[in-house]
Amino acid sequence: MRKIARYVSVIGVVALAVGLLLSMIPSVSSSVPDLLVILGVVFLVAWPLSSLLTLKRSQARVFFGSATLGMGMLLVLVILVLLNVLGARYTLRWDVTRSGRFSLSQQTKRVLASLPEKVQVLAFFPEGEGQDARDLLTEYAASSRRFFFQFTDPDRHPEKALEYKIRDYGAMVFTMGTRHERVTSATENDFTSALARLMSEETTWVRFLTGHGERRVEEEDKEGLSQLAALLQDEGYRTEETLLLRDGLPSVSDVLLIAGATTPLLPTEMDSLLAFVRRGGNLFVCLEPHPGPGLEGLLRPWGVEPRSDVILDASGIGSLFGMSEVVPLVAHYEENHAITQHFSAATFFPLCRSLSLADSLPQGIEATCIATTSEASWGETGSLDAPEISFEPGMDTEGPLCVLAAISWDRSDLGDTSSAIPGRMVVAGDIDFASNGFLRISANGDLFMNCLSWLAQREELIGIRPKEVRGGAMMLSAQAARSIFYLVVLVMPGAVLLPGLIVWLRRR
Amino acid sequence: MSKIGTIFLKEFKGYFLSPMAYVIITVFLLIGGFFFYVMISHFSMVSFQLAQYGYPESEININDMVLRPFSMNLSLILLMVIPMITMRLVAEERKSGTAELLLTAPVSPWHVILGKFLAAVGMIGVLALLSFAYPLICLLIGDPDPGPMLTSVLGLFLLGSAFVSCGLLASAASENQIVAAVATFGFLLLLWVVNWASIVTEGTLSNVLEYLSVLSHYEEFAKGIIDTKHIVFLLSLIFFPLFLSAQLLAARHGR
Amino acid sequence: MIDVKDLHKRFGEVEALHGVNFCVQRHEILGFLGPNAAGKTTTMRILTGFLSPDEGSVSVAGYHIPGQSMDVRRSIGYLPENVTLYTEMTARAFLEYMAALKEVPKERRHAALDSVIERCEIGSVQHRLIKGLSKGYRQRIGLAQAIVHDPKVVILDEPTVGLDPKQIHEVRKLIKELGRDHTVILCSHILSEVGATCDRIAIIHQGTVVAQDTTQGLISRMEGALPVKLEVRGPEDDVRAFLNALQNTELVTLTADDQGINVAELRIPAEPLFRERLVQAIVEQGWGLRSLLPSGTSLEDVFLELTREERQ
Repeated sequence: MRKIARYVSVIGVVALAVGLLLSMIPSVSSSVPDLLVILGVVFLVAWPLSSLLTLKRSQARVFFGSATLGMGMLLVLVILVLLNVLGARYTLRWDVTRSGRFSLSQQTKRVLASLPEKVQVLAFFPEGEGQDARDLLTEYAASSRRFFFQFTDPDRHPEKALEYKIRDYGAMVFTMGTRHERVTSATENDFTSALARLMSEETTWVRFLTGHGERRVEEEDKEGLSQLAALLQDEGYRTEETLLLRDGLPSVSDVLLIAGATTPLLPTEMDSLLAFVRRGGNLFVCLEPHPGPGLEGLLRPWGVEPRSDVILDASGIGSLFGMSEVVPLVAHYEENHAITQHFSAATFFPLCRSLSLADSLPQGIEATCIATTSEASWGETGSLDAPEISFEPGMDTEGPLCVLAAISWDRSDLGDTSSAIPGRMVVAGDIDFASNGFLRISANGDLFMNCLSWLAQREELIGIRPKEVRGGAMMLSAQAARSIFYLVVLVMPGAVLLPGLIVWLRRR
Repeated sequence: MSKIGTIFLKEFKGYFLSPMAYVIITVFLLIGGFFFYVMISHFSMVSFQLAQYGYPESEININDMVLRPFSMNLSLILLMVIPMITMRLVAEERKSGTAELLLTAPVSPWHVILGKFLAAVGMIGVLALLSFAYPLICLLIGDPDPGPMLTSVLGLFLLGSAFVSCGLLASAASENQIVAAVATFGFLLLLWVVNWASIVTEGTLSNVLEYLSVLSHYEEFAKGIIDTKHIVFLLSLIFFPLFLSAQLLAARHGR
Repeated sequence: MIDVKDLHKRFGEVEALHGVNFCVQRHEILGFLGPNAAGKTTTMRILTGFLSPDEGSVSVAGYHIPGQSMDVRRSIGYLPENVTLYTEMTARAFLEYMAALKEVPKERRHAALDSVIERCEIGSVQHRLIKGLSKGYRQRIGLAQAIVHDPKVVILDEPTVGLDPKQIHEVRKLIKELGRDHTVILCSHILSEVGATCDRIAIIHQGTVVAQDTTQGLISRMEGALPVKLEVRGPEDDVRAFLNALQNTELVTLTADDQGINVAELRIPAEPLFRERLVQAIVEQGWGLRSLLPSGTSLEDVFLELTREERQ
């Protein structure tokens, strides 16, 4: 009997080892290794258990007595470790919050269940921050054995930040295999979208419009976009230049980038671009300084109007970075927009036009200015060659000025019921900020990539709404605050101390 | 079984017959109350400011800003008072010689260890119950989510029990109460911060260190989540030191 | 009732016990006698299950150590040396606690407590905290807890240390009473105590039992050479020759003063008749017999003798 049990336990060790090994191979479905692990543990404890049951009392002492004390402890420790390994793998989890705020949606659970391989998330937050992101990532990791995350303080680990080309807090890089997805806002929608994008076979194309004097991706000089193209490829995008008349319209899942056209677009091109946008295509428009090629017609329906000016920045802060007045510093970002939610680092927009956003927009269109210059800046309408340039009220626009606008619209509200996919557009008053000369300066590259990730969302996942957390301010009157103070600092401890004193005195 | 009950009752009453229990509870309530007052006033101040600038008040909620961080504070206070609760359990008997009475009576090491463990856990239960007063105050003046309030108390209780178990082991291993208390405090602190090392380590080791950190397990209770993973961990952390303590007594006093 | 076989116990470098053997009969009071640090307390701790032996075995009331420690402990009531009690409890609460641990059934506990409180005469202090009680009361409370579960065997380790003579007397009386219904082991380093209360004596010295017998038996064993002091007036040389010529007698010293009084120390056979014959013989010689006294208390001699031999 004991002999059999001993062999069984050997089988148990083997089963356990194989099970654990198999579970590390992602392509094997998880039920086989799980079964092996459970069998392994049952078989493994069979031997000591059967020995225990057949021990006589005097032998029991020998078994657990001092002679084999170490063995007994080791055995218990091994069993506990196994229990914990299993306990960490097979979990039941209840979210008891009122709104179920820590529960993931069904879509997310489906996406997590279909993860083909390990996904590692690297979240760049300063020590102790990013609680929302941590909570959410914890839920993801709890729902999937292939989802892992790690927090990194970019100030402590600049090498990691460099590796992922992160220059700002709040970025989360989702990595699966060799593919990366960057997410900047900690919402379930963004995370799950990123996962879906990682899994999708198609890569998002970023198509650079050409034919109108746009910046070129192969140009390596200061004005070129070769570095931008390289950065995009690092992030898992594929880049291609496209000629509308030759290649036709890109697919709606791609991003079309107009990188500073200098000559006007043909009317047919204009029409097809409008059609592209209306159909839900994602457009990123970067303007050249005035006089531009007249893209106003393309932008006006969405409530964005580029002014005919150049932003000058007299704050002098830019000079700390070696920038002149024509390179305004941008450090104010819209906190409530996904692109700039956690963004705070400075960016620079050389020779930038300011954007004005329409006060009222058609139903369903939402245009947000997501980056503005400082108050010491203004939009100069006069010639920059004049000997004395200064802010002229009435002619120049007073700062702060908008340099980057994000527009999204619900297509059903625009009379298009073919799909629920909303359209998205980003307009920048400048192209130089993404050129070789400026892309690596401060967080310019990050901001550009954030815009692009937002544009390239996989829209079928938009159904995930953020959980309602019933908030509520609570204002204490001075009287109430005092009462609470007396209650928790004096009355409650006192109510214990007093009987304590009485007991002590009486028993002395 | 009844012997465990007998030892439990004697030890638990013992806490309240000496000034020890009152001092411990007073310290716990004093520090806890102070933290609570500071947090609730801060929350009130933020509420005022939000109202002043016209932000919607749904931006903040009392669970995230008061109760959850406060739960973390409470566990830190536990870390400090538990060595005081557990140091005397076995060490005192060994030092004074009453161990000879106890261990020559027909009681097994498990009787002794479990009885004493439950007595200290009873103290933790008292502390956990008293700490429930703070969420109740919140309930009176605000609109907190009751779910996390309950899981926090459960988490605090389990965490405290695990700490007590470690403290009991130190007390069983040492004849000197001060040594037992210092060793307990040191070990608990280590369990507290062990995941800091996961920043500088990689791979499996990092995961193991992260897993060993009691804080990461307790944190989820404070959030309002019950996960069997954390319960398994905390129960293991309760069981293993108890097992070692019992083995220690058995080895020393020949069962 | 109790059978101790070949106990060995070592504490690190020190070998506390090497080969302790003794046995105790039912309803017998055994005096376990030995100088300090001879191994008395260690032996008792092994008997009570507080320590485990490295080698050897103990059998108490049919149960064995190692193996049946629980049953052995159920059969024993133990008063440890320098008894320390839970000082924060009242005497009665303490006894109740010990009674519960010693498996006195709940319904009988009250009666058992009343009984031991009366037997040990601690009724007047039963509701007072132990920390405020005198040494004598504490000792009696310790005794009470040892017998509260009516054990077959009672082991008392130095029960009279630190008591005043009146208290010692009372405790000894109590022990004598205990001997009627229980088997008692009384550990002590005080000879008179053991001699006065015990039926049998085991003497332990340097970790082994060097002798065990009834009290009388032990004494008479040594009376084979009873030391006596003899004062005889007579010629020194004659007296010396006479004493040397006596059979079975050893002359230890003989001193004479100038008045012809000889003081002799000698060992004579223990049988009482020998002394009478000796007196007669001296008188027949015409010498003046001034005194014939046994010298020293006999048990003390036994003890010293045994431990001296062991030292040699």
